[in-house]
Amino acid sequence: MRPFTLRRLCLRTSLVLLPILALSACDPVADSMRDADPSPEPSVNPEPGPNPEPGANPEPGANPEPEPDDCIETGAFYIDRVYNPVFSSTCIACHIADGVAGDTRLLLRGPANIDADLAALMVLAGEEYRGTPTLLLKPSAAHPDGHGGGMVLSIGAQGYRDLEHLADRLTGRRDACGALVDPGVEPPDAPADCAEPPAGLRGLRRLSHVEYTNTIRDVLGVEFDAEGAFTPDRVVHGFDNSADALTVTALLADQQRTAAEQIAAEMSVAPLVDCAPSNACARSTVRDLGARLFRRPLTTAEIDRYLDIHSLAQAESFENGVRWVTTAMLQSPHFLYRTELGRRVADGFALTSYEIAAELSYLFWQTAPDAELRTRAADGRLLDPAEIATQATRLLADPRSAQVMARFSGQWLDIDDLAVVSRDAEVYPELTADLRADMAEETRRFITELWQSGGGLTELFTASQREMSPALAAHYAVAAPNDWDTVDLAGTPYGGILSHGSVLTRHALPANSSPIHRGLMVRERMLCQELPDPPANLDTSPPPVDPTQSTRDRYTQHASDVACSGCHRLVDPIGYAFEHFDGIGRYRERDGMHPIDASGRIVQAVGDDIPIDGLQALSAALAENDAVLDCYVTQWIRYGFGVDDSLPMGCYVNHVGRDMNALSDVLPALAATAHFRLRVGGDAEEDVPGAALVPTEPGEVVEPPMEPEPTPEPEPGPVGGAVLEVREASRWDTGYCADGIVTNPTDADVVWRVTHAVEGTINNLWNAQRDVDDGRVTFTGLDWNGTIGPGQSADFGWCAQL
Amino acid sequence: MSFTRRGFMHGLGASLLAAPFTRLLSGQAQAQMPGRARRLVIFTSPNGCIHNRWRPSGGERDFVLRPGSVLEPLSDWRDRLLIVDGLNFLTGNNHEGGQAAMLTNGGGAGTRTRGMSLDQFVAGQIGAQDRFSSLEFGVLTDIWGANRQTRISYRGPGELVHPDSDPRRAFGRMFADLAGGADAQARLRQLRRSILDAQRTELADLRRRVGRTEQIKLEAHLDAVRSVEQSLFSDVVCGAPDAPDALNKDVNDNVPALLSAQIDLAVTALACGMTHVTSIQLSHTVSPVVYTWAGNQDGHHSLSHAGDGQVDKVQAFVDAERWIAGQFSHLLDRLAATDDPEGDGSLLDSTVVMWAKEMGDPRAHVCEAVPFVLAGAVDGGRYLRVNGDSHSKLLVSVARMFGADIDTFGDPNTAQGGLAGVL
Repeated sequence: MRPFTLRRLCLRTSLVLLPILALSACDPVADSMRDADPSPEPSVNPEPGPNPEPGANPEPGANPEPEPDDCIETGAFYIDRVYNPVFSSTCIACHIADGVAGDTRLLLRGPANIDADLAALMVLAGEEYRGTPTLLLKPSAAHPDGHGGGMVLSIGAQGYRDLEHLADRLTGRRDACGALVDPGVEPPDAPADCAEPPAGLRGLRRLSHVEYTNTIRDVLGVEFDAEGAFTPDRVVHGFDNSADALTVTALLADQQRTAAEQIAAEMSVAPLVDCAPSNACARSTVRDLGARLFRRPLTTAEIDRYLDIHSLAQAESFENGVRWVTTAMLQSPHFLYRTELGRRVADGFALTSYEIAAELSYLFWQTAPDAELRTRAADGRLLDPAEIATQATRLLADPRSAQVMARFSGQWLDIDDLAVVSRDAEVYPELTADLRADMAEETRRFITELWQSGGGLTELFTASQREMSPALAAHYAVAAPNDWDTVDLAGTPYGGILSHGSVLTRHALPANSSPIHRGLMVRERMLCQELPDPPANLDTSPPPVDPTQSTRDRYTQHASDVACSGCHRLVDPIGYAFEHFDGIGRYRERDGMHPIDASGRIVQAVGDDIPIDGLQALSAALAENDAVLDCYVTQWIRYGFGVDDSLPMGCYVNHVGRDMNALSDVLPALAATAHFRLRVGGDAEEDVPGAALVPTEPGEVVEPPMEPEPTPEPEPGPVGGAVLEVREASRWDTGYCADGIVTNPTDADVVWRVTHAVEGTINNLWNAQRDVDDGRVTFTGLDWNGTIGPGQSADFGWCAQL
Repeated sequence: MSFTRRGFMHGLGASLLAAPFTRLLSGQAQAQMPGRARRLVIFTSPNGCIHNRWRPSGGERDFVLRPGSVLEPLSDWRDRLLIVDGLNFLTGNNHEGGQAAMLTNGGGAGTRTRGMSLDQFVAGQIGAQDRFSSLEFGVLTDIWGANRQTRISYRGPGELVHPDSDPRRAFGRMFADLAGGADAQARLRQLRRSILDAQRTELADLRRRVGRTEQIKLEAHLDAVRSVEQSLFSDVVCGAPDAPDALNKDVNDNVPALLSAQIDLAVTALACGMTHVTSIQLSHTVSPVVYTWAGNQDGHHSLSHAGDGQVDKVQAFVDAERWIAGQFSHLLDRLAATDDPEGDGSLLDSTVVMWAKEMGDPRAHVCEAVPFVLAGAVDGGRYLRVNGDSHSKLLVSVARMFGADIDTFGDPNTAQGGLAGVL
């Protein structure tokens, strides 16, 4: 076991917990390892003495930033600018195989093995503490663990700057020639007491599996279980909808392909086609289906792209063509990702009315926008914050919003595994599959009722009424209803969400209760304080079940051993409050033969510990704790916006939570933030696709892309033979416009088609349509100018982006 | 604050950011591989090992798989096994850290192996032309969602490769293109290809509109589209066997049937030349699976932490581990009974099979003396005892069996070179 691994672990620990508490979990371990830390006095005095510190007193301009054009390769840069001037004189005395720092992670070989050095430096460059790489922290003696050799580079000195430059190359912030890689836009920042939460970054959000399921059902009328069919997504803070984690891997892409083919084969085509099969009908079908699946109008180029697929597949039947268009659209990034990109405006990007419609719909209902939202998108009224609020109220009143609440709650409380969590059937024969299902249903009904009746955190934690099944009531030993019905629990040990069978059973051991699992759930999910794994090298085997000791007594080592108590003092004293409830949620007076001591305390980040005794006291204390409210709002911001650390959370929490009484207030509050309408993005970023087709102010209606009249099927006739002349009409830094003149030099009518290597990407085209193949664009005429007579000509034009 | 974001960028952007080191990965790595290793199968099971119930007795060549020990069920294969005892993970500890380090040995995008796990690195060496550069099969790997705890395979730092935990679904992926007659198949391929082309066009268009973080996401998506294309348009040299039975992939008591089906599929994928690299992942670290069919009543993780004084629980853990050893033996049986489609002999003769775990003694939560068992195309019949070497040496050795010219795997500071006596 090398010391650095532990140190890395502790680094993570402190990063997680520093804001909350002065944590000691790592300290004892770090202390015990300190002997092994290679930090004795260096054999060579590195202090600035007779030999001036290398790189000190930088002469501005003496060693200028390398010009990217020169391309000093990284290995050469390392030798010339880092190894020779600094490492070879100052560091090598210790950081060599036989040196006192020979068993640290930095072993210098110099020109003899540049690759090995760079690989070692890479690791240190990639490991950061508060944004600065270890590679810089160590020689400047700014690392929390210190540097055995003391300070050998002062911050800002030339040697330091060159090392920083090297670190940037090694971490990809600079390219192989040393030029800065565009880092993109920094996420916005704001203090917790901010006046207004700033808009966040532009982004793409892949549909989560449940959103996919709902969207397919609501748009195509097909029941498809995406959670069963698709590989699960990476879970972040307990949630499966973090935008950063919602990526498309090779496995998922293939599953999406299979799903798309299956859904398109199963769907009923008739409702999607309201015209008799023809080219025009194909076009309007593609346009309308695309608008539903892409949640915005399609551009002409997009319509043409999917018409090509329709053409390929319609040999079998028109309907087959529609199925394959659907198959293709369901694999398109425009379907799979919700864009939150917007159009460039004076001070950033304004999300389009269509994007806002999708935000509302997926936030409140986790599905595609309904007809009213689509209308409000098309007429631009959703650009008005007042209309967003109106729609938020409407969406919230619909039962579908309560389903979202239930889904959030399942992940928040970490009870989604209830049906499969493992239990010892000999100890708990009562826990049948049916009872597990009843427990899940009890919580779902409770959350739904709370959401719809305007209940707040107090009711969530302390409500003394809830619906349950007769079997569940019997399980709890409370007065049983005849069927699923509300039971008054006043005077019983039950009350509030923490006393639900689902929560108590999910957070327990196969054959016992678990103060640790339950305390940890409260600490991490309800106080938003995520704890690190137990330090390695600790014997964490659970105390043996010993009939002479209660569960609580068996865990007292956690409090007495300093290596454990740093974290467990945050966990166990909360968990003890649950001890009256066994591993499947039944109230008990005794734990085996032992009377139960359910007293404990909530250790707070700020303020005194809160003493508690029993679950109801714990629940009441949590209900009125501001940290719980803040955490609840934080969890909703994570879940609702799919963000983790890219919004200034303190500022958002204060704003969103400020006027929150009912739990259901949280969603309209999210929809009222600037983030819902505006975003920031870099200079090189461009508008969302189809930005020309969206209203830019409330009430504006944008004509859909030009639709050709239902044309007669193209007659076989002479094709080509025309001559193209291109004239540039205007040009600017990032684009140009050009006119094309097609002349028919023959003595017969020509249905013209001309091919031209178009510079840049066409973003506007008139009087012609196009087909792009490998950079060459083939233009053809429209129905009214597609045929030109002998000696005649036709004009068209385009603008392109460079 | 930018910690997570940056980590994410390093992950997905590995292929872009590693420019200074790309030359390390070309050249000889693509050359003809030495020896007989043509395929790699990695089998993993979690929660460490209790050494005194696992270790063989005796020396390197005269070792004995002791009666009642975890490895005894592998007795039929004794002479083909290379058992490695005493390797330490220096880049990760505890359950989650161990699981992440097991096949990667840590390391960032800029290390020689670019943060890839062994299977993905070898797949990069030998799998580029295959229908699937690698195939990942899981058993009860979905219930906790995807995270460092539940995944073993990495394309780069933080970039998880998910196993398919549903044999029927995996079968569909392997053989989906074979339905219908020749004409229907040709039309199907044409449509699928134009759809993939449309995706590429749209992803590229979207990519230029967005910021760097989202570009990385779309670049990963483009890679995924490329993989799908490769899997759809390369030939399958064998007919589809019967599809596996439909099984609930999340139910504890289905583990034996699920594992058996996944082993069948992995062997089929190799026999049909669909891939040269595959992994079979039995659950994951902190696994709560209860091996009821081995007589267990407690979750595997709970049992793994039983102290030596808890005789019954330790025995229950050993019983579960012996059952798993029997499954590994069954995997070897299947490989030995299947012809090598590319040469003489059996699949086993040309396949390196590795049973890996994520920890040493689970009671101490440490990744010291983490057990490895290799079989197949290795110098077998040996019990190697090493004393605390970095497991990077074993990863290097296995990668070298496939022609990789490397001295370090993952974090370069843990060790140089391969494992003495292996390669």
